Parts: sequence; structure tokens; C-alpha cells
Amino acid sequence: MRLEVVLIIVLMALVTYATRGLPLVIDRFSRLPPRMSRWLGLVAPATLGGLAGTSSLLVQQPEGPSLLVGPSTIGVIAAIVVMYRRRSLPLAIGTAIALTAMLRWFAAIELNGGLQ
Amino acid sequence: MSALVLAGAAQFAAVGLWAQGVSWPAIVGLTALINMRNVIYGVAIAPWLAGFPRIHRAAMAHILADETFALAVVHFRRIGVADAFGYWMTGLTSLVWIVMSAVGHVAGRVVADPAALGLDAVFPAAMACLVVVLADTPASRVASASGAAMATGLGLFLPTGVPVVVAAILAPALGGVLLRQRP
Repeated sequence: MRLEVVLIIVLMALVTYATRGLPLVIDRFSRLPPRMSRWLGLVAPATLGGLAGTSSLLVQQPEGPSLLVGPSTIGVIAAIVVMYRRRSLPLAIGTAIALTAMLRWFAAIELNGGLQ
Repeated sequence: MSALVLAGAAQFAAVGLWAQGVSWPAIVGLTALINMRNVIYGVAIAPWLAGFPRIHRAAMAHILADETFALAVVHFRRIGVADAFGYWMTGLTSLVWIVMSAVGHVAGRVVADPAALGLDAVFPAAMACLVVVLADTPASRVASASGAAMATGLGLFLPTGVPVVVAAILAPALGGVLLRQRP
């Protein structure tokens, strides 16, 4: 492996660890005013909502990101319904995988002129 | 790279930039920017982990990522206290990332299109399902819905990683203001 690649990986690891480690090792962050604590209590749902939205609705195109409701979006919606009703993460994710794969399979058959 | 950096989005971006001949300071700088949400995770989870020795917290920091943060917060809320074993168990997701990176390196030559197997739905589905668990109050439901809308809208214009950071800062405030709970 080239030395430059190793250097980049090490530097990436250092800056990434800094973003993770500093708030955890500096004690000041563990004693926060109540208003800040209430705000932080909402950070997790806001962040996870953001991650779910961007990863299920945005696709990277050569000309830039664009919105797309595709098979994986439908799979994610089905997972939310299953999670809401059954409270089972493995079942919900399994449903998302199966539905996404099935929709892509049907789409591929359609593109190839249907079942012969 | 997966074991040392342990940050999927930044790793994908770095490989893409490296392939395009982008300089190393730019790659490292973008890595810091993409991973800036870890700061928010760290600040949010720090009060839970305050009882552990600093050296233990420093070790815990290495596995703090989207999945570990989400699972740890859900777990701590459910049992009402932070437990070290539970936190380290969330680190299994990091182990899976490292192992699967290696598997992908080998199997990638065999499987022509992993998306055809529906595997690209795993991450968004997992995040969305954890939102279902976490959004248990009106304020948290507003925060998660506005976070999703904000990050997705901004994602059309801003670089990878930045929209989620902006949403993570603004959406909780919106959730609090809308429901007259001061953020």
C-alpha cells in the first residue's frame, strides 16, 4: 500500500476520533443546564430522522443529488409500518430487504419485456 | 480503514475523492466535516456516560457512530441508566461494519449488484425504525419529522454530511419551540 494512502487513513482516523472523543472526555459536557439537556434529548430523533430521510430519498447522480422514491423508499416505509405495529427491528429490516429486492426483481422483469 | 476510521459515509467519500485525484488535506478536511455529527452524538450521550472513568469514556468514543448512538440511547432510555455492557454490545454493529467491509472486498467481485438483493434498504430502514422507538413524545415526533424534511431538502444543495448536522442542531429547537417547550 502506498505511503500516502496510509497517511490519509491515519489522519482520517485522528480527525474522526477527535469528533467522537472530545465531548466524551471533557467533563464539562456531562454537566449541562436543563434547557440544554432538553434540547439534547431531541437530538437523537432529529438526527436519525435526518439520516433516514437522506438515505432513503436522495440519490447521487453525476449532476448532483436528486430526490427519488424508489424500491428502497417503499421498503423503508414498509419497515416503519412493521416496526410501529410489531416492535420488532429484525422483522422490520427483513421486510425492507425482501420488499426492496422483490420490487427491483419485478422492475428488471418489466424492463426485459415481462415473463416469457 | 474500516477498523481505524469506522465511519461509513466519510470512507465512501474519501475513496471517491482519492479516485478523482483530490489532495489529502481536502480528503481529511471533508472527513472532519462529514463526521461533525459525532460531536453532537458525543454531547448528547456524555451526560449518560459521565459516571464512567475518563479512560473508559475515551475507549467508548472510538465506536460512537450513527448505529451505536441510536441503539445506546434507546437502550439507556429503556432501562433508565447507562450500562457499560449495553454500550459495548452496540459496538457489535462496528464489528459487523469491519467484517462486512472485508467480505464486500472479496464478494464484490462475485455479486454484480448488491442493490438487487435489497441490501441498500438496511441502513435507512434501521434508522427509520429507531425513530419509531425514540419518537415517543409530541416534541420528539416534531423533531424527527422536521429533521427528516430539513436534512433531505438541504441534501439537494449541501455537501454530504452537512445537512444532517444542520438538521440535528435546528430540528430539536423547532420541536421545542412548536410545542412551547423551551429547547
